[in-house]
Amino acid sequence: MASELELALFEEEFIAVQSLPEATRWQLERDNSVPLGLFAVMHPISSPTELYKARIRWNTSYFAPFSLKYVDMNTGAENNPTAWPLCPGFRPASFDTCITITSEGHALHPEWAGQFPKVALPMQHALLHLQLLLDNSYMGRARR
Amino acid sequence: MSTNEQLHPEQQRVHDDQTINVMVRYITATRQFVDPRAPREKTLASLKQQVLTFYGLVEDATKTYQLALGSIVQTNLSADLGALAGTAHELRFNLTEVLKQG
Repeated sequence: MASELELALFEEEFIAVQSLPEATRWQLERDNSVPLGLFAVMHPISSPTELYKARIRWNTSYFAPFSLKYVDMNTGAENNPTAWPLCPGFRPASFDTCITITSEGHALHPEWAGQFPKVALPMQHALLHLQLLLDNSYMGRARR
Repeated sequence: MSTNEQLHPEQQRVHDDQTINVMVRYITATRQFVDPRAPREKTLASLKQQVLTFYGLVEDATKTYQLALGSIVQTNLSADLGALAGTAHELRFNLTEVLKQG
């Protein structure tokens, strides 16, 4: 259950991140099925026409690692591997990521506990981190 | 009349041409690092160390930090700000943490 502080910060950040220089490349949309969630359409700088829709959810705490899935751009389906970009640690075949900023990564690696940074702006952190991954380590679109 | 602390407008222009307005956003943090007059010959390594100190961050065996110009991670830390800026007078960086994964 999200606290009032978390909900308020989420609302504040949802507006603030749209002023970031990088936001000109994003389409953001609230995920109304959860209190602390959004969808972000992004593309790698090397492939502007390759769009990916990230579903970002903070299920336990807004200040903890977030859940990351990529959903089908047209249908929203969560079981389409080709909706996923290929970056190190991304596992489209199992629809999860093994990276240090996601809850899925931390579930796979309990030894990462305590290594998640103190985050004052969780949404900014999540979006910019994902954009940096796409712009620096993108290897193409996943296949079935 | 000018004092020693005040520069003539032409001197100010030359001074400004030799410096760059540098902004660095640590992506987890609210506050930005800003140096409005960073020397053009300053290296990225020097800037990075200054920024880490500003945010109270330390690299160790388990984590490092990367400077990205916009969203492009900079790997050549001996490059200087002037070379990166070219004719621009402003550079915006993002600083991000990288955990060494097992």
